[in-house]
Amino acid sequence: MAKPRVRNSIRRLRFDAGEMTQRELASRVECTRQTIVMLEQERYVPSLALAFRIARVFSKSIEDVFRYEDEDEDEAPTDTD
Amino acid sequence: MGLFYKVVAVCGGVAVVALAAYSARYLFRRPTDAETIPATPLQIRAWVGLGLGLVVALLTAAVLVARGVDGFAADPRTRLLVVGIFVGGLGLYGLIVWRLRSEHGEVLLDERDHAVLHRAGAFQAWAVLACLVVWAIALTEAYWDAGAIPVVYPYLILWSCFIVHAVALAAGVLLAYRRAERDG
Repeated sequence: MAKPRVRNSIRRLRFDAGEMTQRELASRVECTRQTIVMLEQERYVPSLALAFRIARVFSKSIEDVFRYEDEDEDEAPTDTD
Repeated sequence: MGLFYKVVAVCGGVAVVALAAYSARYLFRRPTDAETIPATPLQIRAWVGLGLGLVVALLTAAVLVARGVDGFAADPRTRLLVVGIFVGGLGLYGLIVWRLRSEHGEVLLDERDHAVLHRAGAFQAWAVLACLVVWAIALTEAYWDAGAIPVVYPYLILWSCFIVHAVALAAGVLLAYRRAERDG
């Protein structure tokens, strides 16, 4: 079975939101700064509750911040015709 | 001592040394750049707890070696000294954690920390169980012929379980973070 990956745009969204610091984001979503670091490095998949809180801080839907990918999807040939 | 218990003692000793060596290698290895992230408040508390726990264990062991178990049993001041070491260690830990909490000014525990604590709790339970197994086998074999175990040992079992409980939780937290940082 392919290993799923959850990608996110937190770093870019933080930058777009007036270069919000990791500490400030962590404080607003009630987690530690280290969790934000792990999330940005895509080495940690957050709970749904944390994902919703992060999306809410940036006024985005959860799909705008996080996307689910299978490795199969990455490797599958794309049909662009 | 029967051959069975000698084999159990040797195997147990080898297993404990191997586990300690593996844990030390895993804990103190140089992390890769991708693994290097700042320590969480819980991680800092675990390092403090591990350090203080080991200091308390060493001081207690030093008192017992210097005075002997018989001295511990006969002399109330020795028992008071051991209690003082424990209370002092706990007080110092509380003071350091209080300072850390007031300095950090951020969320102290989040969902990752709760997962880490859950894993560390399992490690801690196994460590306390192993401590009790060692005491039970050692005391039973040592006093088998006497038919009774000296009354001082329940105290020593209690203190050793306290130390193992504290040190194993701290070590379990640090190991669980290592694993979480590696595996996500």
